[in-house]
Amino acid sequence: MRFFFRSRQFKIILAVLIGLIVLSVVCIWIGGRISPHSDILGTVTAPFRAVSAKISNGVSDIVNSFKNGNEAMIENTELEAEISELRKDLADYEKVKSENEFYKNYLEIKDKNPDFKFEPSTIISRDTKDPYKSFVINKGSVNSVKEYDPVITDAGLVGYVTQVGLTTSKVTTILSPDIQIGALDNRTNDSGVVSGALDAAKDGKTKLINLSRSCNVAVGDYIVTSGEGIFPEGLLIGVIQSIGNDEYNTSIFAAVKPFAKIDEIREVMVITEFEGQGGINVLGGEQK
Amino acid sequence: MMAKKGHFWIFLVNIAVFLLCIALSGTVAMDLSIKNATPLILLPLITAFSVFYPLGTNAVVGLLTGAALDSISGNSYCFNTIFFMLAGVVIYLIANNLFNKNLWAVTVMSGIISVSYYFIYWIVFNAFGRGIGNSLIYILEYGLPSAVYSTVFAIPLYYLYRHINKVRNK
Repeated sequence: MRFFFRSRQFKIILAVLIGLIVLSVVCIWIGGRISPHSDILGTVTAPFRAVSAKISNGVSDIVNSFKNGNEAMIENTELEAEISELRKDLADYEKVKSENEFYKNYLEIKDKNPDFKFEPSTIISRDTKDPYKSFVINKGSVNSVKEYDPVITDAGLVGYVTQVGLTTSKVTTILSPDIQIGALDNRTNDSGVVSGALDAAKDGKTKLINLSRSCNVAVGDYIVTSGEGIFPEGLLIGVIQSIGNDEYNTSIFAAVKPFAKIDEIREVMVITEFEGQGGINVLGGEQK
Repeated sequence: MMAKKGHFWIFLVNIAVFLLCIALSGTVAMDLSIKNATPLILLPLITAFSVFYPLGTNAVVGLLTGAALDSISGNSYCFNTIFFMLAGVVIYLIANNLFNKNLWAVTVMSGIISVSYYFIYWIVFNAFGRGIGNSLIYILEYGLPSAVYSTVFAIPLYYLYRHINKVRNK
């Protein structure tokens, strides 16, 4: 073993290691950029990864169709019961009216923001080690994507861009505790902060925290962005599924199921420009 | 000529195995997760590979594998590049100085490498940023189960590389 430490190979490995550590420190220092070697590799392999993602999605569709085939009979019975329940639900005029009102408002919000500039992107890889489901998209700085740009689907908010490469970017999702979004209950206007937690992320949920004890939030309420910080106002986040007390019993929180199915999405939109962009950052964790 | 042809096929098989494992690490379509445990097959793969290959090859393969994983996960701090390169070197040194090159040794080394990976990953990306108390749940509910699950893959990979090694040495 001691001969190894005197060998030329050891010196080369040590030099490469020191080089990588320096690169790593520089990346941490600059922040918000994918490291050069990952960026070059990412740029070179981006087309292959896009093809690989398509193949992988194809395999996923086939597996799902087989699963669905096997479960068709059970599903049919379940669907019949569900249809009868849905008929009852349809009769609930007030609820339908309220939901219609909400969607009307959402459309109005979209109409009110003609300044939004979108960059359609495809997910090319996912960080399977990350319990908060971060992923990499096929657009980078050459497509005007910047750090902190919001990422959405037609269903709602997904997250924001945390690291930008030349042709790829990393997206941190709303399930992550690194994200803190100013949010409102769309019905009551009660405000809070949407931030992820590991226990909620396991079930694909995030949390609306810092709610006042006198607030009127209820299960089934929709949560939208308030416009504070890096996100534009009025983006749909999710629906409240349960309400609880925080560990010190000083405020309450709500478990929010995001409208965007973060596990299943394949295409997203990056909002590269909107009015008021570059406001105060309300990000937790690594605030830049 | 025959030997060169054989080595070419071994090279292709190695490329295919690594590409497959890298693709598996960046997709959820062929999700091998059991509850919270998501295997990182590249860890037992680099272990099984490094036991049978020379030091320089291990360092280069580890470096490229880590860079590919950094690129897939959008990790900006070269964490995987550094870890996999060092893993290739350390496994070679351990396998050639302390352990035999048998299934038991490869499984134990894969276990140690997997636990170390998730532990260091937890320290770098969770404990520093979010505090040890808040992120302990990560190592207990995700890291350790994933490390144990990853180690299971060392068994088939050991047999694959033992066979490849035999063909190489013919």
